[in-house]
Amino acid sequence: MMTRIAPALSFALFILVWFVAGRLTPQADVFLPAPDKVAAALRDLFVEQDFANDVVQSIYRVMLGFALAMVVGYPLGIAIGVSKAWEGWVQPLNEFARYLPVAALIPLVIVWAGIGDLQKILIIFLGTVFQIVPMVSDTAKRVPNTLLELGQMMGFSRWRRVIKIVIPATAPEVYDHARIALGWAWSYLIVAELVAANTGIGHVIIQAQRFIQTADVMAGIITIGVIGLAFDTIFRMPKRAFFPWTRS
Amino acid sequence: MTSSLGVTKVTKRFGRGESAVEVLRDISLDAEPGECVSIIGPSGCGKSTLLRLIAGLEQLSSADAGEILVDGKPADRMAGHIGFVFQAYSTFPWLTAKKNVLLALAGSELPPLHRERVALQHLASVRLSEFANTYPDRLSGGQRQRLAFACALAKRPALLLLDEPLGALDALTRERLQIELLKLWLASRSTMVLVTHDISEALLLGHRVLVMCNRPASFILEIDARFEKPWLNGGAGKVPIEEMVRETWKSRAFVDAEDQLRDALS
Repeated sequence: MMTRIAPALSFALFILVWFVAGRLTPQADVFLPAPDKVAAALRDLFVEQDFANDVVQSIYRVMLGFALAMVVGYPLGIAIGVSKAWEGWVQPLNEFARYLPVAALIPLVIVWAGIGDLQKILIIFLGTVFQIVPMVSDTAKRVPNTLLELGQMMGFSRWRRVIKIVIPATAPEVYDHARIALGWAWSYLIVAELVAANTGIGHVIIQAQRFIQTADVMAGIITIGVIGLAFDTIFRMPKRAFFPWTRS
Repeated sequence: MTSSLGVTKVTKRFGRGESAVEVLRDISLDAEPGECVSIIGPSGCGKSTLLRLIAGLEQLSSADAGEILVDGKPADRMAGHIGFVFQAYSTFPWLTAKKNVLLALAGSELPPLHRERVALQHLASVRLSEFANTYPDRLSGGQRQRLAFACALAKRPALLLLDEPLGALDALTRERLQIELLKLWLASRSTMVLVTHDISEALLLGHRVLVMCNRPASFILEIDARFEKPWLNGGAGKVPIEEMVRETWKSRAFVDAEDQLRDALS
């Protein structure tokens, strides 16, 4: 029973601590607006400043950047996981790219893609793709060798072993990796909408920060958190339907 | 279809140069079509390496010696015609029991429409009909290995290789599965090579039992285990197989052979 209500209780406790801290902080409107002030700011954003449009824009950018990263990162990760040649050629480059700060790539991406949606989507893509590759490749490398040998005994070609064994064997874990990568995609949204953006949640947060509208900043951050949580829950729900053999 | 096996003077080394380790030395082993040969020996002596070489999962390199033929053809060109049951992971966890057998049937000459019926027949032969739509992880250890037998036998392999297939099971289940395995062999009459640690299992299932000594592995004893097995002498079908097995276990020849093997292994 306690475990079931724990998530709700933890949120309630967080809001309570925030509320008290907001009341005790001097100049709270600037440093730590209380939850009621943030709620009011959020309502104003939606009612008076067409914030819903910014939310839709951000979701569009995050989902497209994430999807692109999966489309590129997943097959690369599988290839590295099953082939020493691919591992030798691609993994060092990927490791190099993985440690590049994405913010440092913004000027370059603006030169390549301009300042439109494509630039924001590319930033999210670059932030996540190099993380997806090693997660997928590590999972592919952990497929029990006996399963691959079983396929070999059935007369499967190497390609068929990848399709019939590696892909299904790794699918549940890759699905979890995708969930984690989606979280990263959201965290790169602010970076993507930091420069040359005139829509999106990140843009609203940066604008509010310029005018020291801290309640709006927090409203934007909370919106990202709520959307992230909603997406994670939506992603989590069908897992049992997709991978019924993983049910305990 | 059942095939002959010929392993001639096989020497296998792992590693190169001075660090090379000789795992098998001058190993020879023949099996007639329909014969079951049991190999028994201490852990790590090279039994599984020999089985993997026969299966084509390990290759003989230029530094090695010998020849392995299945029906006169090099064993490493027989992929798809040799069944293999491992101690674990002999089924695919993401496929139901029926789909596991169907995958094992992929590439067979059966028309796709008939495969489902054949898969169900194979499941029935290992008493898993009611578990056709169950995932392997929800089967017991014994049921899972029965499914593995059904998959391995699905394409009627020329040769069936069993690498300690009952090694992970408790004693009671193991005893039951030995009889199941015997029934499957009687139905298929496949040529079989069984690697096991269990003396009683080796004697019950094998027509011959070979004892392998430590590395570099070689055979140090061969026992003819055809004695007092009514199912090998036209007795199958007349008396329930369980009864015949119980009589064999109690027979003087079986007990003496057990003692002989125990002495050789100690």
